[in-house]
Amino acid sequence: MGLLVAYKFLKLGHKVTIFEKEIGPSLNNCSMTAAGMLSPYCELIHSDKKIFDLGCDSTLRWNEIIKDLKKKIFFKTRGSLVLSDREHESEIKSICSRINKYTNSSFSILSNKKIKTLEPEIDSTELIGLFFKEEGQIDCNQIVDNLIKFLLDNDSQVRFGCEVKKIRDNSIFLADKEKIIFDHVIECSGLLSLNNKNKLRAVRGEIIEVVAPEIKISRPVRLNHFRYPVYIAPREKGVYLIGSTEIESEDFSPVSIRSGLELLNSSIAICKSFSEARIIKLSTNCRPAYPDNLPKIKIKKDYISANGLFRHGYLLSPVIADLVVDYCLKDKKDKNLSYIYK
Amino acid sequence: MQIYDIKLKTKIILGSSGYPSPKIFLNCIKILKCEMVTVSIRRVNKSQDNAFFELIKKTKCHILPNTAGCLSSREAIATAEMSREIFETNLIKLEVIEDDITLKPSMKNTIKAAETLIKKGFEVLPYTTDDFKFAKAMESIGCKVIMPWGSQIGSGRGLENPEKLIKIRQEFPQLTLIVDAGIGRISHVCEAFEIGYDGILLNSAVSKSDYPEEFSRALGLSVEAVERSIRSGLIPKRSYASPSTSSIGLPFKK
Repeated sequence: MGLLVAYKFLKLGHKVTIFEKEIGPSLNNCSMTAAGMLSPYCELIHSDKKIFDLGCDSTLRWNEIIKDLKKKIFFKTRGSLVLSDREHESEIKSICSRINKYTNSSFSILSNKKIKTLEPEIDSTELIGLFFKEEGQIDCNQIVDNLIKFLLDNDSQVRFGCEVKKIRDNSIFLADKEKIIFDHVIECSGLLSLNNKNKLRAVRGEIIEVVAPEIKISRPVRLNHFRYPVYIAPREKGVYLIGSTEIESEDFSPVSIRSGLELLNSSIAICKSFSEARIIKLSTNCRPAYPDNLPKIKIKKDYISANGLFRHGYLLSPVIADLVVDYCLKDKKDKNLSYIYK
Repeated sequence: MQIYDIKLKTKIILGSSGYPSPKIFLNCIKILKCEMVTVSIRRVNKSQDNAFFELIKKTKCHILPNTAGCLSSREAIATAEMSREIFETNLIKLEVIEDDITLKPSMKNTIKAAETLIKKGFEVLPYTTDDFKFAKAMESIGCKVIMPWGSQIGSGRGLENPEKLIKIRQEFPQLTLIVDAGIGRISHVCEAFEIGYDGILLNSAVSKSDYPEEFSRALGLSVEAVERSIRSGLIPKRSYASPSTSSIGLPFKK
């Protein structure tokens, strides 16, 4: 979120300084423990319609950013699939009618044969589902690395290993009590927020990264099992991210055996060849969320906080970054999004 | 509704999982004037802060921790002990399931866990099937509240064996009986109260509906409606026709 806000300001000709607690250049925050799925339709399964409205043009916004960065970044817009076991057809029917109702669309349930036309490696004959062709995905590591590189190449300061201890309006105070004054201070520090911490809660997520070069799944696939949901998000070079857990706890401890078993077991239900995949990384992190699970932009004079993107970080950060910039430079709030501003 | 030493004015206990957001859950509590909510702590690391629990605590509802998903009595006992530390309550909704697929409560392991927990001072609300023997066993070891299923958890199939639930009601008039699991529709709620149950516990029917707050409003109205209808005196079910208008002397009847 912070990098994108910085990028937007920089593109408009402003000077930006980023303060990052971690040593860098690689980061270990929740942006790096994400699958980067840009799936506004799929989010309607569990989320408020507002998430869909905010994120529906996310792939277009990212497309512009990536074009501008002129770097090779894994970004695909081949759509995504939501699958369900034929035995639980009522579940997928219910999702379908909910999404059609909310988006005024006319999606229909695809047969197993049609699913296999899209993704031949899905080998269960019992899976049926929905296809949302406008959805996409982005490689989180690649976009973060390239945004940092862009900022550094364009004379921005990125002060790694520099912890901000206090923010007062447009001033920040560092660990050595140094005070720096800016035109605006924008805090995008998630759960580490200095001024909003008491309103935020942590929601733990776990991701298992596997490599399986022989599997050729090309788009994100979600298994909508009511007990063992899972998503599989493909990356380059046969790498897949497997995740979906959402646990209400500020718990940064490693992946539990139960979560691991459930996620991997569900991945095999989609494609049996995952049983021979190799686990290369298990990661956990906590996502910041407000009680309504919607993002918020909080404004106090020249201090602005953008936070609470929950599990929609990559889906919503381009639009939230634009809203922050619009407010700072034009003193303009989007009247239709009053629930975002505080 | 009497839950051990706690007297509740409302007859609904709300489950806390699967809502689109905590805010919507809190709104549902408010709409229903709910006084007790059940919370699962199984995947929680007790050493960590839990903002979600803090939000629930602020509602002033009584918290009924549960042992959802526990497959053994040992696991359930450990979970109950952890919940007592976190929520400072002796209440525990005891769920010990036979398997991960049907989530059917295990009679053997539920009895075993309940015996130990009662000795440790817990006030146990066991989740049981509609089997009379299961309920009898729980009553005989000292449970004052029993929560038989209507049907499987999350199935939304309602009261699959109302006769069995009625038998439990008839045999244990002194106990607080709560239908737990299987409620999917407002009609199921009404049926549970009409057969004499004291309360219902539900989660998915509310949290997974498209508009949980709207469902909560409907739920509140239905409880009021069914309570009024019961107070008004329901006619007994009969196996024969009973005309409301006398047919004697009707002219021209062939």
